[in-house]
Amino acid sequence: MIEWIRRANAPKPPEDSLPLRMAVLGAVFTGVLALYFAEAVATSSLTRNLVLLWIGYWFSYVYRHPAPWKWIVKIFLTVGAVFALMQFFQSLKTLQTVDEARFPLATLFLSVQVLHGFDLPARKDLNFSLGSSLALMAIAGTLSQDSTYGIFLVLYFGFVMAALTLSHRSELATGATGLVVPDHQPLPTKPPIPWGDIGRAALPVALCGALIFMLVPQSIASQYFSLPFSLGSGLGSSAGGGIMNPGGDSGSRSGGAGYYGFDDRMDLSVRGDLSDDLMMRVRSSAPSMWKGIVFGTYDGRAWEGADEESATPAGDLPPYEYPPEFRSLGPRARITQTYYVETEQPNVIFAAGQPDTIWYEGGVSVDALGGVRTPSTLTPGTVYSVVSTRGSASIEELRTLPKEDPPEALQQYLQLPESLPDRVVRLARRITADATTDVDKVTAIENYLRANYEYSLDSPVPPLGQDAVDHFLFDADVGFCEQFASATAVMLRSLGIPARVVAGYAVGERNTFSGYYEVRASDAHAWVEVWFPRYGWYEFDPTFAIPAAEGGLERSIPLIAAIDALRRMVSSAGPLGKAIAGAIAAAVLAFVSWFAWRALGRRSPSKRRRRRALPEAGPVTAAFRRFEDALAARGEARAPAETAGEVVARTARFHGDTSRAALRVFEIERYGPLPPREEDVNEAVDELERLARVVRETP
Amino acid sequence: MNRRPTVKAGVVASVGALLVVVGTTAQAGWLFVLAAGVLGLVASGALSWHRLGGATVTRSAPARAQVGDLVPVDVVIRNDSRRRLPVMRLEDRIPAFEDLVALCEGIPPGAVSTANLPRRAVQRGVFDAGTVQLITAAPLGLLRTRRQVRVDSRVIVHPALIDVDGFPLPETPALTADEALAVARAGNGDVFAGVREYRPGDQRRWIHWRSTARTGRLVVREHEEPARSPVVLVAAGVGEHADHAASVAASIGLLALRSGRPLHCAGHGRFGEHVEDATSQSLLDWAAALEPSESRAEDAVEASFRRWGRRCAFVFVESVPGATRSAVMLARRRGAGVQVAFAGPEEPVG
Repeated sequence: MIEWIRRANAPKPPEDSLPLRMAVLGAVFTGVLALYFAEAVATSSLTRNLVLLWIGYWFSYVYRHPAPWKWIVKIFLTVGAVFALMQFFQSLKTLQTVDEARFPLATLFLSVQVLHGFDLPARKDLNFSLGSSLALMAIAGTLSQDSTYGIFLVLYFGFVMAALTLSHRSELATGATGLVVPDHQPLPTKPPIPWGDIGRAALPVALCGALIFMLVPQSIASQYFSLPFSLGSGLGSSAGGGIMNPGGDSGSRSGGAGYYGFDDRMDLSVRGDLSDDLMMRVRSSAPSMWKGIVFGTYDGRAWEGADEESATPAGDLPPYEYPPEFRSLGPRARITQTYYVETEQPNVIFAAGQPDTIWYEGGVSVDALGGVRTPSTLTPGTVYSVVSTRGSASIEELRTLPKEDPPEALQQYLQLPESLPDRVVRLARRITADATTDVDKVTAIENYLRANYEYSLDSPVPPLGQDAVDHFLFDADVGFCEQFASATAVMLRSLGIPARVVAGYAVGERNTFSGYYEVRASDAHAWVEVWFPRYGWYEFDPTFAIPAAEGGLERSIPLIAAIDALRRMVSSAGPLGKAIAGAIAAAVLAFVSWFAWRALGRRSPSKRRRRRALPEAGPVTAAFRRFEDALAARGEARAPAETAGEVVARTARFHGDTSRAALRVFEIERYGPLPPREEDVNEAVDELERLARVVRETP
Repeated sequence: MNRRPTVKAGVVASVGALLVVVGTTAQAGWLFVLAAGVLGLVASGALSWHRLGGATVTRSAPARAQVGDLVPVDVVIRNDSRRRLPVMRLEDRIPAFEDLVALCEGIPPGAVSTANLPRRAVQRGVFDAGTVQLITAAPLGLLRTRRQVRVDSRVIVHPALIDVDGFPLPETPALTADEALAVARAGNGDVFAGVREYRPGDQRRWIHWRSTARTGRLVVREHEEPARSPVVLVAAGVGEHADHAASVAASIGLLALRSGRPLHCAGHGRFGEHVEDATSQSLLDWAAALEPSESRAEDAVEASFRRWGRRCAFVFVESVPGATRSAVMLARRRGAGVQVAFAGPEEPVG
């Protein structure tokens, strides 16, 4: 062990390859830039570190040979490293969450990288520097939320492959006294940069990387010691007890980026478009609808939320616990989410299903309907986390629940306006006539709405005096999420099933690489929650499908998700689409088979035969062919399956079995790993020539 | 063919696995991409299945060299495969020469690369083959393939020569007339003296076949004793300093030849026990092949008298002091001139 340590720490020869140093420096630069674009490093720090890195690498190259004064540099670097470590520990004191440690950690790694840049005499040091650049990229990767990081990743792997290739060449050349090139090529005057090798390595690395990415389970941990939260650019506008919607604009469905429905009241008469502006990014252990506001009272035109005065603080310090009186029971699936606000949001905490624990810096309160509010709007840069649960009982389990009257506290979710036309109630009864359980009634209403009504954001506005749900169900036949959700909730209430409309955001689009759900203004959505005895509130969406509370392998393994998506796409395609998909699948399968065949070094049997039949350029083989020709001229040609040994044995009458040595040399030349000795070759050729002559001359 | 992942591959794979774990814990999707890229490096390394078996290696070197000479040695690699051979490290090890280590650029199919770097002959001896090792982990240094081939190429490396100009070559007095009648004058002189009847101990090659056929009895030729007594170089008891002993013996032998003395060599070697009427080349070849042996110097003396007659003058080369003492005494008892050359670590001592 001691010997191994001694050997590992023994001074290594200086590395003379300038391209290798440049490749490593390129990788380090890329790591630093990725950190900068992930906002882990300030501009001043970026400039300073890039300059220092350049100087350090130049210094290391110029003074790469051992020198007696090098110890001074080492002392300087050691002091610098200790100083950087002290700064790191100092900055840890101000952190609120473990998650925030990534920023001082990035600064520490960067400092170490810069210091180490001054002491890179040997290849081993450069390899270490290359390895530590990966730490910079990793930290940048944990902080990056968009696809910009992908550009740095491509650049980084380009430099890494160049560095590895050059490092390997340097390793091969250690102790070498010369360079050998193919005979027709001129000897280069300086070591060449192996662009060809790097280029040839790129494609397999990209393919293997893509395949591994598709296969590696990307399960997201759902248990955390500490979740990130911060106010970013500070508190927004004060909400004054109610809901303050920065995007809300009375009389319009959309106020620029915002959705008017995130308010105390959701008016079903408002129309308009929603923009595609990015509202927030959500890092979540599972896809879900991000619920923000709960509406309990329907007045025939709009839904009302909880009273402004009803909100009560959930605690003093984060994490805040959701009050027990609002919690649902039964089988639940846990989902952990972190929200990164990109555009100012209303003073509402969004959460998947039922929030259990909330991590937010500015304090939260819970209104009378269970909605979670903050004192002021959420400014861009705000980060908060929620650990929540969603009911995970299957439809079959919900069917088995006993019929119970809802408790007193839930009577408000049976409220209906007195002006509600009877035909709405009758329709509800007609739709659910065959349904025996509550869940079947919900499903029947969902199916009815999906089958008989069109989705459109430009649905007609209900005339004054007419109930909005009645207008949607009997006159318009066109609506969007609010109409669908309202109609469902109203019909369920008319059947005595507690139901409420909730507003929030749909899942959004998941960025395959960053793993974040990118939620846009156009994802604003309204859906329904239905209460089941003993199990509490379950989400239903008559407009779109709600993601299942518990997912399969497709949630964690991208390849399965891709195949699943492809399968769904093909199954919904027409005959021509299916034929095209089949052809593409066959082509892909053929390509993969061909590639695997080549990779395994196998060849088709016909190729193998052809290869075996190729004559090797050897004098003994040529002499043996002449011997065979002589035999053929006598009508004793060699049979296709006859071995050379059998031919020699069969023709012993010509040579008295004395040609065994020549046969042996022929076999060595034909099949042996090394060519036979020259003198043996000469003797064998003479013997075979003599034999051919005897065969020809024998009557 | 030996294939195995390098330590670097192990480290890279471990880092990739660690990134997956960190990605899972930190909920960072980009870390999975980074991890996949890192693991992709290792996986692509495994795919780069080098086929060094397609390389045919030959070596051509001069048939003879002398220790210390800088000689041209060609190592030729021919790519007989259908795929390009990757960049390789070429290590040619044959004990005759300094090891050759060279970086060999990729070789296209059917092409030939020749490493023709001059190499110094460092070891006396007769060498039939050496090993050539091709090593590569191209392109990224993650999967190393090593192929070692035995490459035949016969080389005789003569020992280095040393200055023995002052070494006194022994002389054995000429036979008196009576003595000449009493012994078989089967000398090595060039002058034909006559024929006589065969006596036990005469060599078969001395038989004069025409006279034998005419008389029906075995008759042998007789030659005049040479004007100067032949020098018999006996290398015995050379032990671990065989190389130095070979240098001393070769140098003294050449001195004898330069002095116009007939030279015979005796000592265990690859080319047999004895070299008769040595020339410069056969002397150096004998010295190149000289090996330590257990055979006694006295036996060499007896055999020398039998083969080359009484008038031999002996030079014993020994590297262990006193190793040839009894042989020296034997030769002196027979009236032969004797010199002992010590070939230990120091300079030879007459």
